Amino acid sequence: MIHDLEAMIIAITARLLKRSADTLHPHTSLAAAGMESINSIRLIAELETRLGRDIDPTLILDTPTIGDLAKALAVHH
Amino acid sequence: MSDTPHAKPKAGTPGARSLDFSMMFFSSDAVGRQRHRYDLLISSAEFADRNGFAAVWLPERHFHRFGGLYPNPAVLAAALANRTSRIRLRAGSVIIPLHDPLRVAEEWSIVDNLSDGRVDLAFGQGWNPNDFVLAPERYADRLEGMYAAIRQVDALWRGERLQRRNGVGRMVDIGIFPTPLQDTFTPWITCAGAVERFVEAGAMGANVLTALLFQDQGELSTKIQAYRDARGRHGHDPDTGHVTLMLHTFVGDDMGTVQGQVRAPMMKYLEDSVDLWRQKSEALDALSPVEKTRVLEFAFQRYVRSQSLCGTPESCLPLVRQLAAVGVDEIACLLDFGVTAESVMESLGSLKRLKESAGHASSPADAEAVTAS
Repeated sequence: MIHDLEAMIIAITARLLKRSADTLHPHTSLAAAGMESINSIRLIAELETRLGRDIDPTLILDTPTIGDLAKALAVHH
Repeated sequence: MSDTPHAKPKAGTPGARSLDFSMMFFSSDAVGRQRHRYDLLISSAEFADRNGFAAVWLPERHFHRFGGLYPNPAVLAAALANRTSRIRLRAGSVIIPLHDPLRVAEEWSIVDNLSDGRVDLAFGQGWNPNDFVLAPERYADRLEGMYAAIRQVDALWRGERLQRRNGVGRMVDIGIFPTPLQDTFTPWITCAGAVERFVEAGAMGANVLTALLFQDQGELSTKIQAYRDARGRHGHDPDTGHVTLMLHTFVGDDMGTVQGQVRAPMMKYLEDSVDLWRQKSEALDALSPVEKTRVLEFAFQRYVRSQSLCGTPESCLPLVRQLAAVGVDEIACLLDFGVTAESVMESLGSLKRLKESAGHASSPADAEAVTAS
C-alpha cells in the first residue's frame, strides 16, 4: 500500500516537474524537489482523482517527504 | 551545525550564534490626505528602542501608493533619531544609482550626528524602471553603478575627497560636511535572490540584507554558505559577516486570530508574489477559478507556516531556530504589510516574547532541554 502510494506520488511529481522518476525517492523532500504551490495543488488534485476522495492540500505542508505523504495518505485511507 | 565554520559562537553566547530582532517597514498604503500616518512607524520604533530590538529599517520607495510613506529614508531616520536613543537606524535600502553619492553621504552624516552614531546603510541597485525617472541614464548599468557609488560614499564617509566638475567646468576636490560621528561603516548589500549578489557582498566584506520572497529556506542556506565562503576567500572573517533576513511578521497569542488578521493582506500579497511568478503567469491564468483559490490558499498556508513569522510566539520559534542554524544573524520583522496599525501595535508584546524566547533558547542548556522534550 505504502509502496503503491509512493510510486504514484513519484510518477505524478516526476511528470509535473518534467524530470526522471529515477531522481525521486521516498526520502526526497517535495519542496526541495521544486514543488511550488501550483504543482503541489496539481499533485493533490491528481491524487484525489486516483484515490477517489478529497485530500486537504495542507497535508503536504505537514509531510515534508514523498514517503511521509504516502504514510499520511495510507493512515487517512 | 556546531562544526561548520559559520556556526562559530559569537562572544558571550557560547554554543550558538546570537540572533537579533529588528523592525522593518516597507509597504504602508499612502494614498489620500490623512493625519498621523507616520504614527505606526514612530510608535513601533519607540517600542523597539525600549524593548531590546536591534534596529529599525527604513526603505526607499518611489511613485507608488504601496510603500509611498517611504521615498526618503534619511528624512525619516532623522525623525526617529530624536525619538530613540539606543536602536540602530538603518536604510534598507538606499537605491544608490538614483542619487549622487555626495548627497547620500551628506544626508546620512547628518543622521549619524543627530543619532549619536547609530546609522547603518544597506544599498540596493533598484529594479523598477519608473524609479529611474530620477536618473534614467543610470538604469542600464545600475549594478556596476551601485558598487562604484558605494565605494564613493565609503571614501567620503572616511573624510576623503572626490574629483568633480564644478559650475564653471573646472575639476575640483570635494569632501562632505558634517563629518560623520562613526569613522567608518560596513555596508549591507540588498540581495533579492541571485547568489552572485551574496558572493559579491562576501568578497567586499559587506553584510547581507535578504528575504524569502524569491527563494526558500533551502536556497537561502546555500547562498549564506556561498556568502561566508566568499568572505573567507577575500580575507574577511566568515563569522563576522551579518545576514539580515526580512520576514512578514504578525505575532499574537491565538493562532486563529492571527490567521484571520493576516489572511486578507497576505493573500493580496501572494497573488503578486514570486511563488506564483516562478511558475510563469500563464500557469496561474490557466487555472480555473476554483483551482486558483485552492492554489492561493495553499500558498498562504505555506507562507504563513514556513516563510513568515505569523503565529504565536510558540509556533514561530521553530522557524526562528532553523534560520539561526543556517546562519541568519538578524530577523527584520516586516510589520506594515496590511494588518491595521492598531493591531500591529497590540501585537508587539507577543513579538517581544518571541524575541526573548529565541534568545533564551540559544543557550546550550536550553537547546538540550528542547531537544530532550
